Amino acid sequence: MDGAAEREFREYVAARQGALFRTAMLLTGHRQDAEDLLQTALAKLATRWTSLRDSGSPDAYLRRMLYHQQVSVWRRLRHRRERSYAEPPESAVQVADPAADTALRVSLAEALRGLTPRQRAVIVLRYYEDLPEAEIASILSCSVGTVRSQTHRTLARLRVSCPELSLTMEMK
Amino acid sequence: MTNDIEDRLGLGLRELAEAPEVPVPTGLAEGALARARWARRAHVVTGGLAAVAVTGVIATPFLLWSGGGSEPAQFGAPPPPPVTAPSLAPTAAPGAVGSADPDDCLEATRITGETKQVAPGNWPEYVRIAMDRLPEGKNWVMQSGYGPCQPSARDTSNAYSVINLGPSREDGGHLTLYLADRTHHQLPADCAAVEAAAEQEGADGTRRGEVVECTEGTASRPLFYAIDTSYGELHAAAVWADGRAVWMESIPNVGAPLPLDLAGLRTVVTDRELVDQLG
Repeated sequence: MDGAAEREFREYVAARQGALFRTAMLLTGHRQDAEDLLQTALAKLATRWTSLRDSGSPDAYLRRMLYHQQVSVWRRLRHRRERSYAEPPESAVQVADPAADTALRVSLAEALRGLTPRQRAVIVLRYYEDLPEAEIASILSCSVGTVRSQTHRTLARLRVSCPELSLTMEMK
Repeated sequence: MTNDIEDRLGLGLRELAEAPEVPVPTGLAEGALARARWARRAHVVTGGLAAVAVTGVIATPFLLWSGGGSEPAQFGAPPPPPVTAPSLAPTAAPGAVGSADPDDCLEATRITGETKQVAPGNWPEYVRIAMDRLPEGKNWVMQSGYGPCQPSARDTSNAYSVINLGPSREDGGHLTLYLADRTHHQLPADCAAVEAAAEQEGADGTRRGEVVECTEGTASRPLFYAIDTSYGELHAAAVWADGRAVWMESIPNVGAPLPLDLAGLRTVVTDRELVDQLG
């Protein structure tokens, strides 16, 4: 990558990093994991920057990398006797919950922690990014039927773990 | 009356995403570019002799490598340089990535919460030793790590840990610590090879860095070297005669001084008790 391309890459990241980091936060629920996830995706983008910039599709590539990376991390963890988070939470080291402003945010943040990365990915793509099922299926490399069933099961789970989501609109 | 969980979910997700308490990290672009440069460099190096010749790096390092032989040349390059995050630290320990072979590498148990951290009681012994050698009076925190173990993946260290200066690196940066035996990762065997490694250029023409110190090893003392990298990090390594090695990267936050200076790095990586954790 020459100097001009690097400059363009920096400008692209500067313009997009806020939105990208918010998505990464939703996917991981964890500031450092979000940073690691985004950094990894951006590094992959950087290696292909010139061709992707010319094709006009860096956003699509980056989004795919973010979601793929997050789901593949989960796959690895699932297959490896992962022991992280085996201990009970220690309140002394808990950082203030970023969703502390409203009951919905508090409850939803907690409920999202109970989902698998793949479930989170489906939910974020569908209800945060507002993407159609076919596009979600394409990003996650699965069938539309899988997206549909994952969404259904995850919503059912969230109804239980986050009762605030089921409140009637009139009760808000 | 509606009961639209989907609307509420969308609303909740947007509120969560826009929570002002979570600032966007700095240095994302620089970190990505640094890693991309390293990836290109590694690709060039591992691409075979033809690629090596094209880049002007003669095959001499093959002869200089401790162990020589059939291992692919890594030119002593530690894993890619994380700048804003230890992004290259595997979330899971190595082995399963692209490999069906199980290994005994397990991540240290982390505390739950918003900040990744391993409680001192769960530190692996090699981390405890390294922590004991770090300067006192600073808030060193183990973020994550694994090993020592026998990774099934190639070119993977036997142990790896991230040590933050402050739980979220708020006190200036972080360190990465690696332990490896010769069968898993090979570092330069002498100062000539170190110089060659430092002179390597990425596809963008940026050389890896400058050698700021190199002391040849003996039977009882390791080769010690340090490279001031072109991306603002200080890397130091100790390679023992039997090929076992310990290396550490001192990675500052953007605009901050190094979290650990040359003397501090030397104290850690040359420690005999530390390398003996490899068995």
